[in-house]
This record gives sequence, structure tokens and C-alpha cells, in this order.
Amino acid sequence: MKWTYPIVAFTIFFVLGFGLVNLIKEDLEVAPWAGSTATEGRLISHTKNVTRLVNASPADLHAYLKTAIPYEEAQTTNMAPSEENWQDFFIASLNVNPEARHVIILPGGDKKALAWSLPALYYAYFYGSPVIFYNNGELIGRENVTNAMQAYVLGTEQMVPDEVLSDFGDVERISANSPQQLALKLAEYRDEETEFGWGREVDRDNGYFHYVLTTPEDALEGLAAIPYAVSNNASLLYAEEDGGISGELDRYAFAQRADWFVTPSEGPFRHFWFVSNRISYAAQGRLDFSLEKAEYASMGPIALGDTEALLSIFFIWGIASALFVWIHSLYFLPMVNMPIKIGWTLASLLLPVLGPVLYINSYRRPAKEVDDGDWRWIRSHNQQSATATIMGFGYGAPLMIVVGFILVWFGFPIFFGEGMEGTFFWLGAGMPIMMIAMYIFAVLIAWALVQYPMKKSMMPGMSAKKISKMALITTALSMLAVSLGMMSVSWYMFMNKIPMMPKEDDVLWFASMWLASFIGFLVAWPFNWIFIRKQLKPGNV
Amino acid sequence: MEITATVLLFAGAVLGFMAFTHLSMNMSVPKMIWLSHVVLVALGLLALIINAFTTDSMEKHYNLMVIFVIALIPALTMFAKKDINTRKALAIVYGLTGFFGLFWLITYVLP
Repeated sequence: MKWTYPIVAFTIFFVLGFGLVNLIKEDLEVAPWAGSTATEGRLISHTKNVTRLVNASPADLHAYLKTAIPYEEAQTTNMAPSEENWQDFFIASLNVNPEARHVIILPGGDKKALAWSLPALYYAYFYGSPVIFYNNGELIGRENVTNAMQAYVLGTEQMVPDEVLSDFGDVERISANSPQQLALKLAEYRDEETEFGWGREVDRDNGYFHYVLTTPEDALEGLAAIPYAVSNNASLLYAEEDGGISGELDRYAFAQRADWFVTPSEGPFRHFWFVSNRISYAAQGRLDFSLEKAEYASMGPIALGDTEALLSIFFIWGIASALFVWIHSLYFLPMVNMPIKIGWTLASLLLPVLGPVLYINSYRRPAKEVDDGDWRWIRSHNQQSATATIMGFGYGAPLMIVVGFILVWFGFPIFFGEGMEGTFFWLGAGMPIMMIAMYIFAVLIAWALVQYPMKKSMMPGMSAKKISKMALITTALSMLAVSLGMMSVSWYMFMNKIPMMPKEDDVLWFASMWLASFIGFLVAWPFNWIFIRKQLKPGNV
Repeated sequence: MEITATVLLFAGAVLGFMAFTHLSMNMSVPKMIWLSHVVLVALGLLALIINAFTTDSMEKHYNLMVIFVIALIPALTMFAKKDINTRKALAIVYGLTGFFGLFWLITYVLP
């Protein structure tokens, strides 16, 4: 029976630990709310700041843009781009600027080379830069440029080796770990002297340029859309292969949000043109939002808000409190039983600062060994109530969060049958179902694996049936008290305070649950005062 | 192979948690438990390495290998230290680092 406590602790640690690591990873690698799931089959053609050019093939897109962009200077050659002819297509379409101050050297050949070259091809098309392709050990187009021009090499050394560049006087290589990163680098890079690079860093003063977005796999569609480089001053950016967008692109896009000064109707507007059908609707929604004009001198309702910042601090204090109590009890309280230590540690996780304060207050008092290895501490009634609350709360509240996390991660059914009409309509909504499930599952697990064995070891003389009943009643009542505070606060946070409903990969989800649990503890504390008075729970262990 | 590595490392983590529970109560860790933990973790890491060589995906999990190598430092040091308090401290560092790596891996495996 003693193994039940570590099993519960392991489950809580495993699920919440995974959730928190996932949170870090999501925020580092993928933009929030811009994954690739749950998007297929929706309306995906057009949003305010994004136009999706749904197309059957690069040839289809090329033909469409021939008529859709009627500007002579933006027109490409008549042949459609393909994997075989993409270099020829570009060279035939390019109008070289006779006063160009630089030359661009790019990998040529297969589709992978195109994916790496495309961001620079957009700039070359916009500016009229001479372009040299390196393919099969040869520099194609070398004869058209002089050695005196500054050369920019795009891509890694494996793609364009240093040896072949010895002819050029001044060479600068711009490379990255992926085509996505290279595109972003080029979007921000600028050398005024040689007039190379878009130089679009944080710039919110105008709306005079656009973006074309594709994926490296759909680089040919990106090439077919190259007229936008001239007609709309568009830089090329890449989404991820799975249709989501990276945290880096998200950061960049939000830095491009333009301001309005007097009225939001001021134009022109920045815009994304999507030419890959792989890009998800969530990514589209996110980028649409990123370019939405904000009021002067504000980033609008994005960036780290006050609630997010405060709750993150609260939540980090919780982790620090749990670590303190865990390590301290491990080294300095050998006479305290393992289940009690686990209870204090898990409770401290949800009770930043208050948890360690109550813990220290509980164990700095005189203690007595009542039985072999069984110690009791002399505590006031209030302190006993706090300890009794911790024993239920420490296991119950994290279990409720664990159940909630699993439900939001995997999803849960929402019923809207006829029986759910009228008075009981709320039973069919998501939040009540989640709250009921959190309570029931957490009570059952805590009762069977924690409270029953705990009471059994403390009252060996009592019958199993009586202990079981007593454990169920105290667990259910104690957690009902916790739920009163916890559910009310989580309802307020999710449905009222936070403008956008947070998901499980959002720090606000975890932080709201932490705050709700804290309030849940404060509500349950007085109820446990009664349990101590009636000797239904021990408060001096 | 990614899923195999996850399953092996998860089983290793469960046994590691059991070993730590013994250690935290100042009990000696049963040989069967720590030996199974070592075998499962070693097989899990081997599966990760094979995955890096065989997968077509861009993600080879090199970052995870670095995390696990960092976790191995306190783990191996535990064999050299006899003092229970030092071993507890090393086990905490090893456990937290190892679990971080496992969670990171699971973020790739779960749908």
C-alpha cells in the first residue's frame, strides 16, 4: 500500500512536468495558437490582412498572376516555373539594374537549392541585382558581372564552397540553419552602401510593403508569385513544413505591426500573400492578427501583459517553494513520513510562499515520538487545520489540474442533446463538464490511493469498510471546499478576466489554475477547522 | 524508433522514480530496480541514436542527446559517492535533468 503515494506523486509530476516543458518548447519553437492541427476543411481563403492564393500548381498560379498583376515591370516570362527550369525562368524574368552595386551568388540545381535561393531571388527581382547560380562546380552567369562588385553569397558552404569565390574581391556570406531562418535574416539585413537586403527590422511607421509566405516544399509556388516582389515590395518568408509558423517568424511578424496615428482607416496596409496550400488556418489567423494595425505607441493586446507577467512570477515562486520544501524535508525531517512530505511538497507547488511558511511553522514546534517511528507535533488548532488542509489539498488540487490538463490536451465531448435544453443547458457546456470531471476523478484517485491508505495506517484497529467510508466523506467534502474557491476563480479567469480563452500550451492556463488553487486552499482552510474539532482528520502529523 | 525510445525511457523513468523513493527514505535501492533502470535508459538512448541515423525527419534529437549526456554526469558520479546525502543531491539533479529530457522528447511524440 505504501507505493500508492509515490504513484500519485509520479503521475502529478509527470503530467504537470510534461505540460510545463511543453509550454517552454511551444513558446520557444512554435508561435502560440499557430500550430497545424484542427484546421483542415475550414474557410481558408481570405482574412483581413492575409490573402490566400489557393492554386492547383505553380503553373496555375503563374498564369493567374499574369493577369492579376497588370504592371509591366512586375511581369515574369511567359513560361511557367518548374523544378527543371526554375533558374532559366528567373533569369528570363529578371530586369537587371545597370547601376547595381552588388551581385548575388546562389545555389542552383535541385528543388532544395531553390528553397535556399528563393528569399534572395525576391530581393534580386525587386532591385534588379545580377544573379550567379552555382551548380555542378560551375558559376553560371559569371561573365555578366565585374570583380569590383560586392558579392553576397546566400546559403551554406556545402552549397556554395569558398574556393569558387576566390575571383571576387569582396565577398560576404549570409547563411542560416534552415531556409526559414535565412529568409528572416535577409528580411532584416541591410547594407546601405551596396544597397543589398530588405532592412525590414522593427518598423511600424509605414505600411508600404508586403510579404509572400510559402513553405520550402512549395518553393516553386513562391517563385511563381515573384511578381509581388516588384508590385507590392514583397519579401519572401517561409512557414514550417507542417503548415505552422515558428516562434521566430511570429516574433518578426509582430514587430512589423504598423501604427495608426489618427484613425485606423489610415492606409496603406501591410499584408501577407499565402501561396502554399499547406499553411494552416491557425497560422493564417495568427499572422492576420500580427499585422493588424495597433494604436500609436502600443503593440495592441499582445506581448507580455500585466496578468501574464504577475501570474508567471506567482507560478515560478510556486516551483521554487516546492523545491525548497521537497529538498528541506528530504534532508532535515527524517521523522516525517513520506506521504506527508509529498503532500507538503505538492501543496507548496500551488501555494507560493504560503506553503513554505506553513511548513516551517508546522515543524519548528516541539515534537513527540508517540510510537516507534511515529511522531506528533504540538500545534495550535489553526495550524492543525492548515496541516489537515494540506494533506487533502496537496494531493487533491494538483490531481484536479492534472485531470483538467489531460482533458484540454486530448479534448472532451460536448453534448447538446434535447435533454440539455432549458434549465440544464449548462451541463452541455465545456467548462461545467471539465469542472465536474476534474472533481470526480480527483476525488476518486485521492480517496483510493492516498486518503484510504493514510487513514488505514493511522487507525489500524478500525474496520476497512468504516475507514473507506470515512475517507471518502472527508476527501469529498474537503475537495468540495477546495473546489468552491478553485472553480469560481478559474471560471472568472478563463471566462471573464482573460480576453482570449487560454489553452494548455499557454502560460495563462497554468498560472490561472495556480491562482485558483491558492484561493481554493484559503476557502478550504476554515472547513478543515471543523474536521479537526470533530477529529475526522489529524492535524499534528 | 522515436516511440520505442520514448517507451523505454518512460519505463526507465518509472524505475528511476522508484529508486529515488527508496533513496529519499534512506533505504538502500534494490539491485533489481537500479539495474533495470540502467538497462532501460541505456536501451532508450541507443534507440535515440539509431533514430538519428535512420530517420528521414529534419529533427534528429541532437539537443536531447546533449541533455541526456548532462544528466549522465551526476548519474555516474553517484557510483563513486558512498555518502547518502551526496547521493540524494546527485539523484535530484540527475532526475530533474533526465525528466526534462524525457518531457522534451514526449512533446514530439504525442499527437
